[in-house]
Amino acid sequence: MKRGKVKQILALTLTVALLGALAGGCAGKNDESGQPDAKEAETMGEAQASGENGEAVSEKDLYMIDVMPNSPAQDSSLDTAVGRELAERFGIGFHYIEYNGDMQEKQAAMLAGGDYNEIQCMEKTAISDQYIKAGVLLDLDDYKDLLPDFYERFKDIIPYWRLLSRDGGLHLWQAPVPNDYLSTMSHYNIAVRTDVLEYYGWPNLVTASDWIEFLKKAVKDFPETYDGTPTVGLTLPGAESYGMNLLAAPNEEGDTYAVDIGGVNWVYNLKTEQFEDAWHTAERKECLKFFHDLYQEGVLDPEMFTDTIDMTVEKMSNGSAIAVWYVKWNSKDANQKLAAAGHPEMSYIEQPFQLDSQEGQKFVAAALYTYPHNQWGVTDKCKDPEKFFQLLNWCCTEEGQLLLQNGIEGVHYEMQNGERVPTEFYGEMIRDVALLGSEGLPGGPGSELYPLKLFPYCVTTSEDGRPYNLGLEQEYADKFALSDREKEAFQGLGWNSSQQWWMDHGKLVDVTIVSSCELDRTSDLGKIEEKLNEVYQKYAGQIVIADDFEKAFADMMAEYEKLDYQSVIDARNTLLKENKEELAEAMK
Amino acid sequence: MLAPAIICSLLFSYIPLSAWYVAFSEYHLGGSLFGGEFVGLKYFYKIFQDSSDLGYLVQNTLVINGVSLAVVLVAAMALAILLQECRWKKGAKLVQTVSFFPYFISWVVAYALVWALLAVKSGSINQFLVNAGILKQGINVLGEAKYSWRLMILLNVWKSIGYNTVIFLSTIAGIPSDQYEAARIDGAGRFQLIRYVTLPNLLPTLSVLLVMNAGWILNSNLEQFFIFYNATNWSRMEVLDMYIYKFGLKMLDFPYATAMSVIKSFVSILLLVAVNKVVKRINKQSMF
Amino acid sequence: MKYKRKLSDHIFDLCNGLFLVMLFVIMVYPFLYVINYSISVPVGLRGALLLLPKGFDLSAYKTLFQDNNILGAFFISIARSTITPILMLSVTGMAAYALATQNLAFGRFLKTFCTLTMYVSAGTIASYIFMKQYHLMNNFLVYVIPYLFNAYNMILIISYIESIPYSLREAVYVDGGNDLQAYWRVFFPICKPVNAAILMFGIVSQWNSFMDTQLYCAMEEKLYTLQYLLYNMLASISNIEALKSGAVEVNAQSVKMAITVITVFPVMCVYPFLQKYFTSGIMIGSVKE
Repeated sequence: MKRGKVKQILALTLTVALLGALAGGCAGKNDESGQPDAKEAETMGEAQASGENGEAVSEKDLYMIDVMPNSPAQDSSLDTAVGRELAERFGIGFHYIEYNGDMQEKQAAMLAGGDYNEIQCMEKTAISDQYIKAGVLLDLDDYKDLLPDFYERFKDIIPYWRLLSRDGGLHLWQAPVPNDYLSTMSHYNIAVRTDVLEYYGWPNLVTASDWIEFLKKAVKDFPETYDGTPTVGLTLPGAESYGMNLLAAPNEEGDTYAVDIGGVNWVYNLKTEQFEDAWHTAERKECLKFFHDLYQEGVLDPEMFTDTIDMTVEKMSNGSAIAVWYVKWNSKDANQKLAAAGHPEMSYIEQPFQLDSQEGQKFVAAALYTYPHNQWGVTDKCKDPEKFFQLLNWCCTEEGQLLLQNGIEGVHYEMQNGERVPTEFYGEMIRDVALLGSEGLPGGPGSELYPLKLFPYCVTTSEDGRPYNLGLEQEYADKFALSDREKEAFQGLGWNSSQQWWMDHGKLVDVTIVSSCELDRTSDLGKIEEKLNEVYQKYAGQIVIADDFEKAFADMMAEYEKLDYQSVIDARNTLLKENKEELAEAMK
Repeated sequence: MLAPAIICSLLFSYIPLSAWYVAFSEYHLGGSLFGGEFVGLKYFYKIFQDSSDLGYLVQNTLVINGVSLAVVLVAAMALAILLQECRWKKGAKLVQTVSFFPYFISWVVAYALVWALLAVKSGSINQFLVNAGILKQGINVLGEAKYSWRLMILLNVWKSIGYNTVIFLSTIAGIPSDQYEAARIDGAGRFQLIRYVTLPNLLPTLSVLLVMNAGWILNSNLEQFFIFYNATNWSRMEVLDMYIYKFGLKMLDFPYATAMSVIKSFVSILLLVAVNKVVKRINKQSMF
Repeated sequence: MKYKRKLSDHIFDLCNGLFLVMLFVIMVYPFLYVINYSISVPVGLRGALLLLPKGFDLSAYKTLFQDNNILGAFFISIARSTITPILMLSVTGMAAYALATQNLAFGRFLKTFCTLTMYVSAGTIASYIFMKQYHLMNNFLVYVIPYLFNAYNMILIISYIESIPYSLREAVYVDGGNDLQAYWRVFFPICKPVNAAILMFGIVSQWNSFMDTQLYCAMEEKLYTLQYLLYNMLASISNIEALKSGAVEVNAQSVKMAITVITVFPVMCVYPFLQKYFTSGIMIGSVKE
């Protein structure tokens, strides 16, 4: 018995030793500056490139740059047709690293640890400030000679970017800016089941009262969906981190305020050109009143506070939500499921929303000249900045923008009588997002998954008077993307395109200067702002379900006013004034 | 024999503590950890100022984590004894195996499960109760604050009972069989064996686990609380770590966040020492 | 040795049995739900008890297995959850044995020194900087070395060793063994139950962990673990941007469920194997006191 034990132990120690040696071996291999590994990766990459794509570009002859953009759908720019085209011309490819944790935290750690990328993506100004302060970003002004087209194309925007750089230099660029297409602007809306609309003779619903009346009737006339599940009136994913923000939304659906660029606590008044505290505006109170009334009428989903987006998706997938607030992006998926279940008539479409007091007003959309969610800089780790800048510059030429946004002539578009016309393949691509990704084009509005978004591309008209990206022309977007039922619904409503209401009622306003007025989040004011936000997040739910709306709202305001909200607004207004002056200086 | 352990402790726990200097300086990302200008207790003072309204956070944290800890350990010990006493050994093994399942269910999926069963309108249990006429309206376990503590504690027990049972089972397995033999010769029945042999052998393990975990009572699983937190139940659901996360790390204020973790480390050690003292007095057994 | 069974015994057995059956249901039902959800057609599953799958659809699993990196990731996961727990057990066990020695010089100090590692933390950024200085970034060893010593497990082993009569150790010394031999030849086998439990914990935590990959190995795809890959996939299908542009066609909820199934499965294979060690008693009567 004892001998057996000894044997066992011996075997165990041996295994441990063996494994230890193995681990050591692994480490040794990695420590040798990854030489053999790199080679292996290259051959692998090559095999993949030539095997999968049948193209001649291989990673071996290329300058491959690691980058970490937000939510990349591809592994490398060479997985896209346009990316391969760029690689062939300039010998540069990009390897995308997926990261799904908190981006700001990661980018902060990369800066702290000194292992940031050659070309660095920076989430919002809070991070780009840190990178600029640490002095690791190259100043593009030093390479001005290499970047004539860059400076020419973005001459109106570069002053704003300089403002972000805060030291007079130019350290970063953003995309997609400028963006002055109304159809790409976000707006508050409701996704609604088309069979219900049809039942009531395609009403044009816009105001809060319209919707309340409609939903009250609808839950009575449509008590359950096709599989017997009871329906709910309006739902939304209130348990998501952004859930409560969705309730406070529609200030900007009128013509006085622009909020899209801000948080929930403050709005920018277009008439006085000043910041205001959002909670002291009449519109904001009206927003919450709308949800309160819905709840009292029993047409607001009582589960909405505990629903995450998955649950909202599930409620749409069998049509058990008659209407869904704002998160229209689930409609496409839901419509496919409804069609698969044999009920395409239930498909959801997007409809407008305005508060009663905003009826008849134009809604304001902020034209974007800065976009801090996607900003990039070249760091001092960059092995060959000159080479990259050549590519960057070419992308800013007319030819470059056309390739980036509209693709390759003969494949994605053809010239007919001197006009660009999208091909059949392009249409197929708009319908199939995976294909869109592997071609490397932005497609229609909302192009966050665009694989080449690290290049500055602008959502404007090209020299031929049409958008660089033909997917933005409403005619094509609808033709390619809408299902038959959706087309039928818009016809029923008497709309000539899916965006008609917003095109008719929207107004573009340039409020770029506003987005440059970010308070330092680590300052005392930044903290007050965060606390103000907390107050709202906590009281919003109580206000919606309260029996006495006025009292609940007053309770929140009392809590809110305990904090020094006015100093935050004042600080913003001061910053606004300073930035305006600085900008005027720079424009001269 | 201790050398590897000491080296590891030094490398991964104590040497990195030099970064605590950040809490006393104006650290900027990208600079050296020790390069910031020394500002003394500025950030500690700031935390002290900001912490005026932390009362309910501390209360939630202590109640949820403290009660969970006690209940989990005692329940795990009881389960270990019951499994030990089960005559059908195969069955006991099966129960033991499956009691480990919930440990692998992530909080996201746990939320989906609770939602599927207990959502106020469409949860199957609520639907059943309403349809059977037992309730007029579903119980809003996920939404109403008054259920939050109980829900969190029950879920904690459900998730970690299997894990802790393993420790107690291994302790039971280590009880020398001659102790049982001796007790039986003295005429002890089954309950006396549990009372006079099994339990006394388990108590040291229970107290050690209690003391060790007491140091972590202020640490909450952020994932758990962020998922179950919502606009209607926050008053009973928000815990200290969420606050630290929101006002420290999320705002990229590293000196502030570091100062918080310095304070927390000391509070942990204090709690550890305190609970150790208490356990020592009651039990004559303790960790140190 | 048999003894007479009384009525109270039978009642106890009955109650115990019933209780365990109930517990079994509570523990198994969620898992059944998870499995059934993951293979059901994901439409109208709200409020369904799902004792049986509703329809049959493997698309959630297909989504998970479409990544061509998954085999490599699986290998890394297996590697870290075998190598690390075994080494951890050796280092931690030896430390525990040494600290359980009576009259060890600075014993109290050393024990406190090792124990406090559980409670002090320098923060994420600091850990990141130090891992980089130790050259553990993007290196397989980051899955091994930081985990070699585990104070929690050490305390468990110490409390186990303390329950063994100290005379046993002295007996070994009398036989002419040194500490190392005493531990590996005598104490390691005696501690089998607690060792098995700790090995189990080690395997589970290594298998489950993805935060370290995210922090220290995000730039090195070859070191991605299965958990990290699954986490990435889940994140990218729950990604709002992806949802907005319609890139997601599978049901995120189903994928979450499928991930749970994949996560539990391998560990459940290991569990019964280790279970027999931490549930079967051992004899130390062979040593004369």
